[in-house]
Amino acid sequence: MVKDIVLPLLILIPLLPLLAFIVNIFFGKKVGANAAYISICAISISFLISIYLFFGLIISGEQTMEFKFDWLNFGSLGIQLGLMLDGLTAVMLVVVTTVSLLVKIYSVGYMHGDSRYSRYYAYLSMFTVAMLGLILANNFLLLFISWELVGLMSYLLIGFWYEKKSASDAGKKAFITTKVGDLGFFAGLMLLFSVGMTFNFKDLALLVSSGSIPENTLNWIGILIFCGAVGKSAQFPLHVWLPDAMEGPTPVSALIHAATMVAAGVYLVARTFFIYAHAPMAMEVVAYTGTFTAIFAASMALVATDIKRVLAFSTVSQLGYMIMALGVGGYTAGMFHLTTHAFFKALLFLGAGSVIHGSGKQDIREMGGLGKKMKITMFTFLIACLAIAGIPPFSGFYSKEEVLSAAFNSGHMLIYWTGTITAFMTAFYMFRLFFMTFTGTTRSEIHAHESPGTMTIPLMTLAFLSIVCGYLFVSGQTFEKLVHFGAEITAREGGEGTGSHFVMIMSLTVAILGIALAFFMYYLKKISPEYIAEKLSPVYRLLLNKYYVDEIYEAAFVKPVKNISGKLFKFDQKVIDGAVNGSGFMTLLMSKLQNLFDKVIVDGAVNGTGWLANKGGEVLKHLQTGLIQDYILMAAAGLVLVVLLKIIF
Amino acid sequence: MDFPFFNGQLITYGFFLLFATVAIASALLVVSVKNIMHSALFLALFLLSVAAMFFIFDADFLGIVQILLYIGGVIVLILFAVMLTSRVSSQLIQQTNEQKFLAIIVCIFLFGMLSYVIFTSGLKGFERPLVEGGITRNVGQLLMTVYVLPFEVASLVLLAALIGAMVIVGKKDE
Amino acid sequence: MNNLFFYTIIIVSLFIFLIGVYGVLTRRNAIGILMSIEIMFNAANINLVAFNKFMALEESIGIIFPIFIITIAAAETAVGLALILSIYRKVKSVYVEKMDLLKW
Repeated sequence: MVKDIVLPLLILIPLLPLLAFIVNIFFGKKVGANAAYISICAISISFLISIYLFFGLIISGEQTMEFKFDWLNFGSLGIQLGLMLDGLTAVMLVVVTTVSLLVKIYSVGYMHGDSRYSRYYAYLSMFTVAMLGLILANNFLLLFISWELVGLMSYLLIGFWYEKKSASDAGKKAFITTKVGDLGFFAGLMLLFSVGMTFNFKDLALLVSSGSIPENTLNWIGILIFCGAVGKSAQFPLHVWLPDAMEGPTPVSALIHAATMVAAGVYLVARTFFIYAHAPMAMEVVAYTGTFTAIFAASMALVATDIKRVLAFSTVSQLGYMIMALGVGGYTAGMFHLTTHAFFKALLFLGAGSVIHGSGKQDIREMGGLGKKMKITMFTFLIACLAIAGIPPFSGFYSKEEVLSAAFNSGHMLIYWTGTITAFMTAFYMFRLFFMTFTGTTRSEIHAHESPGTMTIPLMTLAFLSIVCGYLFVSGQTFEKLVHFGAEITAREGGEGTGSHFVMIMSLTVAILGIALAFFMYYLKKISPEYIAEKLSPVYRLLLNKYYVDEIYEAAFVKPVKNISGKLFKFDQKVIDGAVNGSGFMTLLMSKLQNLFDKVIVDGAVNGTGWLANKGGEVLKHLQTGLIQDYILMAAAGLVLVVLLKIIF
Repeated sequence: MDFPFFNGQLITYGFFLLFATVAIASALLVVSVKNIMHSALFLALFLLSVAAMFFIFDADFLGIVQILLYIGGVIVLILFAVMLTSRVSSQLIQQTNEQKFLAIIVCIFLFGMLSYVIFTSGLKGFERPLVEGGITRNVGQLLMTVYVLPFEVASLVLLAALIGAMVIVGKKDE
Repeated sequence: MNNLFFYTIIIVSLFIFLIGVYGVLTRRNAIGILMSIEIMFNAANINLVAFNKFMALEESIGIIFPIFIITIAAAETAVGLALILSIYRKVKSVYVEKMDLLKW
């Protein structure tokens, strides 16, 4: 790979979707339905470039390419921005552009006839730009800018159907909740800059590994930066926005909540892994947060009835998995799971979208027997379910097995067993969803139909990727070759990749157990779910109400804030408004006085001047008689005057 | 030992006073009579008396030029102009405007002050001897030698005035 | 005696000149104004000739200068009368208060 062409290509990747955004947002009325093709064209080229760079990087075996330029210069202290390309970036590039491309193609069918069609594509393009910028950044500053842009675009996309109150509320909730995490992230960045005086990843990595920063500081930095990841990747306790965010269009859910935005948090942790490698306490926090989130979200997914909410909880759970993997040192495993998860979760979301599109329903209790009418959707959905459950040879099996063996090998047995139970739950709720949706008989009036080609082709493509990507990477260890952190923590990663037979068998067993249970309960209906729900009714209600987290937040944060706001509002009205009004009154009074002054004196002077000129002209114009003799008389009189003066003086 | 009242200069002075009186009287009539035709004729008388003064001051050539040019040319021109224009020359029409008194006051002031200036100027008049060979010869020589350029320019001015007058008057009305 | 003669001439010419000024200031008829101007020219000429006779100036300058004055006066009269005729054709009058195109 020639190094010279890499930089223009890197710039081109986000630039093309940016152009598509500009065209669609400013000329939306003109382009109309062509908005989709503009966006798709742009992202296709970006996708091809990403593929080229990805394979170029594999073949050439180069580690990192970095391009810097000065942005701000304060004398000795300058801030540089720049782009970089390494294994992590390349993998993320491929994931993001692939899913973006497929989602955009899928949206042609799904969003057909929407009144804000071109706007939708503009937002999608801009979201892609922000995400690509986040991935390509070689420093924290550009990453943070893109990070916030991603947040903004997700707000716009979740609340895309803002006529629905729930949608606009969900957008706000997502935005504010992630902002809570971003606050921590920003604080962490400032702390990092104050000790490192640079934002560049490479320089910071060198600085950290040199050991000049105390471990305590690094722990704090790690935890604060992880706050950002918690917000974006919907980890406990900031997971509440993700289920609500399902109010957005389903392709948006697929893009944002499966492959890109939520993965940004995981990416952030992976990118800043050089800090965590030297901050064991922060690492523990990461690991346990991820583990808890994984099982916590999975348990909620067991009872959810909205097809998209089940997937949302599943996403939270799987993100917990990735964070967990990173927390126990499984850098490669975490990223691997991110990659495979991006594909099969996007497939699940798009499949769910197809179901919703075809049936018009979202509640799985009202569905059933859709498989007969929607064969392609069913088969692709099945592939995705098998992948997420961890059945070989689907990709999920490999990545999940890697995550669990990383946990096992690191010696965190609690984390390992929790992860295994989560895997069981995952298999169960996914197949519960599958059986309830596609098998049995219809439980309500549904006139389902298969979705159009623009929607099924992305489904099939993603299904293909879900099958092969895991296998491709594992054989020959290509992924590990590409995405590895570096020699210094290989020890921490333990025997990752060697694959403990115990772990492999365990994960396979729990997956099959989960599927079998779902099969008995929802396909054969041997065990009544309602009976269990009744028996375990407190637990059931707890899960159904999502552990009352929203209610707790409402009581703990929202209500007090509202109360305080009310009080402050009253304070505002009484005191501040009084002061403001008083000063306003004084200003008014002064203005009136000034007005008077203006009118009488200033205007008087001005008008007086005008009046004088006018009247003077009135008087003097009589001199201009036009009669030559008058003029001569005056000249003669002037002569008299001159001579008189001459005589007197 | 001349008798003071009968020397040659006194006679010259007497003639001068006579013609001066005529000139002043006719000039006053020129500016005051109502009939413009009479005014022109009084102008002729005025010019004649001025020509006579020129003769008294030994400026024979100038006197002749005065008679030829003014009385022969300018007066005829004015008479023609008067006849061409004065279609309404009634005695009843006021020939002077309303600033008559103002003008008289200004003129009296000017007269008084300029007289004062003249009498306080300290100029001394003395009898210059006559030029040898006659004054006319001298003037002719000077005009052809020292003042030849002004002389030629004056001829050009006359030519321009001639053509100009013809163009202005001869222009057809639209 | 010479002094008396000289001053008499100057006062007379001044008087004639002021008569001309008065005529210019008061005459309504444009031709009358022109005639008054001629009177003023002649007053000046008398003065010049008197200077030539009674003062130590350049030889014959007091004769030559009036010659030029007379020449210019003739030209002026010709052009002035032509202008008056031209205006008369336009406004059908020789009275100067009618020629007030420059008036406000």
